Amino acid sequence: MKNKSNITRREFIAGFSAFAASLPWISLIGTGESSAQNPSDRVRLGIIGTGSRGRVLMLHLQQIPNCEITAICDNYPPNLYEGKRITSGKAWQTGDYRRLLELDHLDGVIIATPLHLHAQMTVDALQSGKHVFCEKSMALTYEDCKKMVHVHRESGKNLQIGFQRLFDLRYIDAVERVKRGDIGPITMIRAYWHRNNDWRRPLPRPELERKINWRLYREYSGGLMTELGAHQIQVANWLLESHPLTVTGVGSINYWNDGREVFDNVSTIFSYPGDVQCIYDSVTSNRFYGLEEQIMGPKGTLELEHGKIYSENPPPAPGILQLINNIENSVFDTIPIGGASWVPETALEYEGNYLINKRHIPDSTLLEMEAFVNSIRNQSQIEGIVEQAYYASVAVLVANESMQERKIVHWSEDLNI
Amino acid sequence: MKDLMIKGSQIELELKYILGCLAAAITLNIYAIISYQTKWIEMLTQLHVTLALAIVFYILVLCIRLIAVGAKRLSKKGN
Repeated sequence: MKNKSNITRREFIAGFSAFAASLPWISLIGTGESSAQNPSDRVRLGIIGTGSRGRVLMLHLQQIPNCEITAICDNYPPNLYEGKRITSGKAWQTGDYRRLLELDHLDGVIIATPLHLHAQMTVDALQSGKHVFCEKSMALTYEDCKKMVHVHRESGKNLQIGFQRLFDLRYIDAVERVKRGDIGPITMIRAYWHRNNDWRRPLPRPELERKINWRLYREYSGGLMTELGAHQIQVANWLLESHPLTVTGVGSINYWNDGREVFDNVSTIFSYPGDVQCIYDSVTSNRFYGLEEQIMGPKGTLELEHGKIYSENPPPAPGILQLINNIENSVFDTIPIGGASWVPETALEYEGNYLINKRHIPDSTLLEMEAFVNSIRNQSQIEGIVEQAYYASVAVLVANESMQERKIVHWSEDLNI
Repeated sequence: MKDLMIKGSQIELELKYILGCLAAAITLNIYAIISYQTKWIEMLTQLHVTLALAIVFYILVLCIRLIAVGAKRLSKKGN
């Protein structure tokens, strides 16, 4: 018997089927239930990297019918132990991913390791005949990103990168609204991700600093841009249907002077065709504004993390409230005696409307996992999804280059795929 | 303690004041809808504002009546 939440979820996704032509991956979510009943359609996966992100993905995979985690790999024993616990000890274990790739029965692998390992692991997995889901961002260098795409195309095996906003129904709805012209042409995007923590993880032994806190060192990580910004720049690319033409930015370490090498704050401008700018910033010393992507046009604004749309001309307040307000203003407002009167142009206090007016929207990470599993069942690569991932991953590397070199970096033709 | 006796005529008078205030608030809502060209459905959707306004009007009228009664008593004492 199917429960109510499943029905709601299917209904939800069915409502987006009209978008399938422009967003091919929509057709692969929430559709695997019938084929999932057939034992021959069982999908067997191996997990490379059972750290915190890897375990989140494992928990989602366990919710997908007829999908089995049969092998796990991590070279850090406490992570491997946690991974083993999630599979109740049933999954085959190793500390060497090459041994996992030798398993013939595996249909695909999930790679959730530090950024600098993505490229080699993905290439090895594709060349061993496995379909690959690799966490974002793609890789630490332009060359590695390109190599991942080339090997994927040569191998004929599926590749998907963990940009889960592509599967978030609010974002999908927003893309369609932009195409319909609900906010007019996009004239600016402002995106940010603000946190207030040092991004460090506790160390059992000091010698494990670089292994556990890999995000803080340039040898392994692209810092805020690859770990956080990549998600939001992917959204900007998606909405503007292009990669940026130039990127300029400034980054520094102005608060967490603890030996880290990556910036603890970044401010960047991505310039797109049509002279549209995406202003992106990220800090780790203040979380008041949290994270958001604000998409602005002459007719309205989208706030995607809140899942809201705001019209430039909000509906007027009820007449009686306008009357009371006017009376109140005429009684209590001060009358300017001389000079120009000026009203500060502070933000409109207007609640806007929800893009999707439902309480429970399916989790986008679960949907992206489902899409990966279904793409393996269908033996078909999701059209356009690698390109989305590639251009977002490369765009943030360009931003890092701009910040490190302190110069405007132009998108080189060599970067196109 | 002294028992308070409220006459039927007094209750009737207060009800008239309340209804008068309600009528004034509704009239104001109609005026606002016409003058700001908003929707007539606001007669229903803004009922809570209309009722709140009627209460405010009633309290104002009550204050005026109390001042009037006080002034009357003071002038009688003076005579």
